[in-house]
Amino acid sequence: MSGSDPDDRALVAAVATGLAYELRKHGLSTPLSSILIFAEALATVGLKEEQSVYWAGRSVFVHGPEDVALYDMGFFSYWHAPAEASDADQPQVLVLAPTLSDALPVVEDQLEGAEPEVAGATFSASERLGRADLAALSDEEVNEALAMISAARRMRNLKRTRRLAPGRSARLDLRRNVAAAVKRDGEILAEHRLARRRRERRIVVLCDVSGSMASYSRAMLRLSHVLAQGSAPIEVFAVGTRLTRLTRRLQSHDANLALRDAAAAIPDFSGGTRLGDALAEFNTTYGVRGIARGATVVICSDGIDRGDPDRIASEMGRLSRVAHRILWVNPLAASPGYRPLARGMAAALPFVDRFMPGESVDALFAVLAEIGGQSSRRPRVVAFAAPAA
Amino acid sequence: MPVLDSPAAVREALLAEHYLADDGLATVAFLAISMSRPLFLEGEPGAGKTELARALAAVTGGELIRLQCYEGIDVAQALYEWDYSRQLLHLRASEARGAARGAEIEDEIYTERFLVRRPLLRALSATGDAARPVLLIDEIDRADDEFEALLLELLSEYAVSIPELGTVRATIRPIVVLTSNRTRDVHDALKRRSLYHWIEHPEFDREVAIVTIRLPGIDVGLVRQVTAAVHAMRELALYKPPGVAETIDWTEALSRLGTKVLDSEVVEATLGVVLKYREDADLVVREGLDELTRRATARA
Repeated sequence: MSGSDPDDRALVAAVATGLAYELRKHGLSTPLSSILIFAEALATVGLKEEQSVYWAGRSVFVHGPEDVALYDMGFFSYWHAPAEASDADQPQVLVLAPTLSDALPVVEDQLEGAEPEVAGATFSASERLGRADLAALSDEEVNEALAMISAARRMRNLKRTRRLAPGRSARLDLRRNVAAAVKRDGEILAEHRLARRRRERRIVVLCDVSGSMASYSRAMLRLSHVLAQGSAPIEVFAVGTRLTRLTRRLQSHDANLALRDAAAAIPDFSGGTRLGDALAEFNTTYGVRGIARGATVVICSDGIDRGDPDRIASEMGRLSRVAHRILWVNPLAASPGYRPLARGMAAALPFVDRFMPGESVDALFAVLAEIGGQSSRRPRVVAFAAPAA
Repeated sequence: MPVLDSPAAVREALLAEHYLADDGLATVAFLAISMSRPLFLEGEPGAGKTELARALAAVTGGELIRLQCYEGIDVAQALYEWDYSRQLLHLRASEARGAARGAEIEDEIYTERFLVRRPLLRALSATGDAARPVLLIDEIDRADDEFEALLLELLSEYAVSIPELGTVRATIRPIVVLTSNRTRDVHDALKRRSLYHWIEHPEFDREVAIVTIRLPGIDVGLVRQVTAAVHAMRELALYKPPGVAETIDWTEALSRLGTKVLDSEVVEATLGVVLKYREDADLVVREGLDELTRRATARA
């Protein structure tokens, strides 16, 4: 098909917008720029073969294997739609000249973080709220506590990358030296230098959402939302009987909206925990892909688990070999006399770099500070009060 | 060069270069070539992404220009760089001679003579009757956001501007293939600029066909057994499931050992050819080599 015949062009445009409309109803993103590309593809490959149209659309609207099922449903309902249904809800077909540009926002690196800023407790009531165990608060107080968490801002956790930029070190910036020499009529002063740029380390949060963790997991998810609004790359997962990825859902700026969205995605909220299975799934599906590589991993769980402690140990081992460091936040750890005797917890402990309590707002702020803290990995003393023997 | 005027034509041409593409890949490749849009291939490692670029270059007869991405890759490694040492020598020599001054020096320093063309620039520089080159940007997920921004500009206009030299615009547009192993979510804008295709490990029959094409004269019964064994392994929760490349290597290795029928001993002995992680090998052995071998030989 030549595509220059006006009827042909109208048909291509109709198919392109029609399919895009249907796909949008199934939840796929169909920006105008993509529809234009699709129209061009249709003109190139022709409308006769269903397979060709299918693959043309798929190459434009599918950006990952998770979109394929939605695309298939949308395509099927479009292609096999009864003829009468179309005219009524077809969108208007507009033929535009493609002058859109997909501008990519460049991520700006910033050097040297400021002091950790945490929403201060200025009133004694807030102080008490900050220290209180979340499980012991009334619903109203819990909401206040959660609001306090959302108000926190975090310090950037920097790490070195391979990217070089002007800075101070022994390495010469030849490009700028040559340019400077040219300005000085050929006189060379080797004064410009390069240093490795600093970039934020990725954060991975694995939050136990089982029944025993009820009040605490909500707070931890709030904290994750705060982290997600920051500039570090972050991935958040809920751990119950299975693993649920929450990252995309926490991206909204509105905390309440984001958390409702996230909670809706977790099929087994307040169910049981199978930590070993969840860790195994994380390692296999995401860890291998490199999400956890060099990252700060934060596991929030009481360690009370129904699964096999050996599995937990081996999966924690796998994780510790790729992660930069592992923080374990345990709401039970604040109780006086707590010792990590639960088999799941004991199995995981040797692989944990920093063990912290997480029962109150203050404790979570401490976690925030710890995440934003040092970049070096030093062996740390496990921080729980265990009297000898 | 064969005329690539339909998905079927692309498929035939690739087959002639020993690359077996399914209908989907052939269609998307056809569109990428005709529309001069980049082809974005994402999928399991070892599923044939890089191989496709090689096959396309063989088909067009053009040069295969490869850019291997890594964390921190930037303009100097990917696009162009000045040969600073020679420039500095030139400057010293001029200064010693008391020769050129001011603007003249600048004109001498920033010329073709001192320009080092890296892969991206080379891909834009084909001229005259040259065949269309294939630019393979491998493992873009290992690079960072800033590099993606650079690519986005380049891939929309097929032109770059070099501050000291001016704009370089491609007269012959390269066929661009981007690959990603999905260790990171590549920015959507880059995917939207391209035509996307997800490559999976092939189904049994197709994988047998691929291996058979790649190893001329090989015993097909052996190929079927090895493929069945690899498929069984892919069902396990391995750290790094074996790809088609591993199936090919394993078949070749077993063939050289004179194996006609798989048994547990030879499988265990050659496990290192197909599984590259100790934990994976241990897992497979724990799951039972006898069962694995039985399933494999059943499909001979």
